[in-house]
Amino acid sequence: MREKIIKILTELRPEFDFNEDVDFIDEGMLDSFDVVNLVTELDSTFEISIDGVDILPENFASIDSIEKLLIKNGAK
Amino acid sequence: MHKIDSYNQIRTLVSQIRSLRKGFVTNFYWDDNKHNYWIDEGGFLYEEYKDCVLLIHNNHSFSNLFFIATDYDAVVSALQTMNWDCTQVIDIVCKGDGITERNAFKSIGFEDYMSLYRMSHVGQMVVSDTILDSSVCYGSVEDSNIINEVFQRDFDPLCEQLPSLREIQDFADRRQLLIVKDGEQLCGFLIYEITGFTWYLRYWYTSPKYRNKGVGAKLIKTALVLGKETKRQLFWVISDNENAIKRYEHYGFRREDMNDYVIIKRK
Repeated sequence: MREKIIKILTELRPEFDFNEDVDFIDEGMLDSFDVVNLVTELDSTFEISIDGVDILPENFASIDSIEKLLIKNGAK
Repeated sequence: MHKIDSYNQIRTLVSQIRSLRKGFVTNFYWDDNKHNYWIDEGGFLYEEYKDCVLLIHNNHSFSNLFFIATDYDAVVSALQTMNWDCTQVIDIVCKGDGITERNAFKSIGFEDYMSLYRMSHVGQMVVSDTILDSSVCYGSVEDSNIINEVFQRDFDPLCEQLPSLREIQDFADRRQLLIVKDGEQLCGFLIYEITGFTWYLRYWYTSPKYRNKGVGAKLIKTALVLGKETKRQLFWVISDNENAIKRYEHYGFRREDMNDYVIIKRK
């Protein structure tokens, strides 16, 4: 799952290294526009529909938080 | 229509639409600084429909419309049910020409108004003169009033979501407002933001009297020097503003395939 997440993030914003241990939101690697596009990609890749109430910046701040979000929303 | 009272309420509306699992389209991208003011001021409203929620920000003579919906047909159906007494403005942000989306709105009386595209530079910006120009300084909260007047006078509110006076004051407070003055006269200003690795140019303006005198160059160079540690620099530009685009290209910015089509339905 982590590899798929990193692949999606890298395709979205190829200029950044998402393996870095930084906060993707605080560091400006993902903005609100990217998050909406990311949700669409994650939905499609993991065949889920991320709950709108979970679309919070902190849930997209790291690979760990995205992974948790996906699991919560039924991704396998 | 109902007042939006918090970001959480918008998230709940998003959740309702997404739970239908029939698709998801939106042109609403949350901005902490801007949208919290809209909510505070009580002018940010919503209306629910089948498969669609419309968010409405009322300005003096027009409304900015945002949608959260399963698809564009749902948005069009929702718009048809409302009686509007002012001009409606919708931004469609997408890759490519957005022709399918625009045609959906044109079928109910919208027309193309303007288009913008995103320009960016990836990597640290090499600025030849790294010495900050002494004629460029941070704008104060007091300067905000003058800058607000410039926005009202010289910018097009239909194609750019202009900042309110409070937002301009916040930019000044956060030292994101650069100005050049000639005595008490404002020659130009630039508003930028830095979020971590990303530098975002919001507005860049030179008063007509001071154009072609290097004011704009001083402002942008200073802003780029202040953001020299960033790895990505970006902004939106009006697509037919050829002079500005040439200047941006001069600084190494390139067009992205990310477009904002502003469409309007006149009263």
